[in-house]
Amino acid sequence: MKKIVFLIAVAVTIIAIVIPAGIALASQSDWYGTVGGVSVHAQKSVYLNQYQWYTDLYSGATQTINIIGYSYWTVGEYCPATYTWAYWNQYSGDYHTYATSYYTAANINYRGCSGISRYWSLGNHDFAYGGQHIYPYVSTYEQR
Amino acid sequence: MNARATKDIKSVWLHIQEKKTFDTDTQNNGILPNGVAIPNEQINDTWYHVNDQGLVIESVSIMRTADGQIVQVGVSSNGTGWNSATDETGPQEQFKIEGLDSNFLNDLKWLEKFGDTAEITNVVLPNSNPGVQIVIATTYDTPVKTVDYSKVSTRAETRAVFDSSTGYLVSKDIVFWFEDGSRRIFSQLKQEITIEPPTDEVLNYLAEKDREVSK
Repeated sequence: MKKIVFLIAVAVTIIAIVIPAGIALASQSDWYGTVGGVSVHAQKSVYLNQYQWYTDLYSGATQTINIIGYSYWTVGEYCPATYTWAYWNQYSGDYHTYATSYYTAANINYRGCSGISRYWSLGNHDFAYGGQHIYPYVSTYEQR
Repeated sequence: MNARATKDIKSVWLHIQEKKTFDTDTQNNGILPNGVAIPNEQINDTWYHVNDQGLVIESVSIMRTADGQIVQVGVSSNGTGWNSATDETGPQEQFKIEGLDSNFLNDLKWLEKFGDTAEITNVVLPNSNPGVQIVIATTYDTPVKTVDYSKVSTRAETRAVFDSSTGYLVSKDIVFWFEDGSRRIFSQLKQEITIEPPTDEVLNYLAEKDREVSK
């Protein structure tokens, strides 16, 4: 029950605060686990709009933990027909200390491929508590 | 247009050259894992080997800077692909070329969602062929901030020009307007399509890809 309340709170917070108007959820990937006995949640999402793609990264915990964030985050527009990347941006990592959540997002104009484009959000999250440090990998993509 | 552009593309090598220019507040489109920047001015030469059923069975795509330096090469053949910049290899299925319009058909699909209109005008191309220009204009309900500009965008426009006789896309520009009334041409694409045999460089990359995949 505690986990369900936690998830609902996460979803409501993200939807209410950050997603620009007119953008529909396209793709989302989640990972659930524990660090030092505390439940944690890692999530990445990709949304598409007419001219932009919007991607966000969320790390959450059911109580305050020592470190919460990500160790690296790559966002990229990939061209499957040509096996090339039209856009690639790797964020080197960031975190909060003694917090219950971390959130970041990017809104990027489409570069465009010769053919379909695939919009990737991938990388390792970062959680530390009770002498344990974990880096779960989560990735997701959507294409147009 | 797409049906006209692709109907005779069988048992040939198709060469698509795209000249792209991006105008953003950032110096490039990101730095690839090998440390090479994806440039704002780029020339992409893509070669598709299309079989008698219209399926792409081999491809080589070379991205260069405006002065000819290689940025990345993507190669696919025999069911696998390789990227020179990321050194990724993986499965690559054969696929049918649905259009030579730089995904403009997808841009049109968003029209229905947002209720925008497209303006269509007949034009004469520089080579004297008849052409058609399609303009999609969108005014945002809510101004949009992206990582590409410090300013907030209020309006966007896509302008695509097709060669009416071949069905090929000739050019595609995307323009953004900002809250202060200024505008920037975010991307300019000029495309040339020819049917011609692959160059030695293309054949060499196909061989290099096979060596990389078999490592």
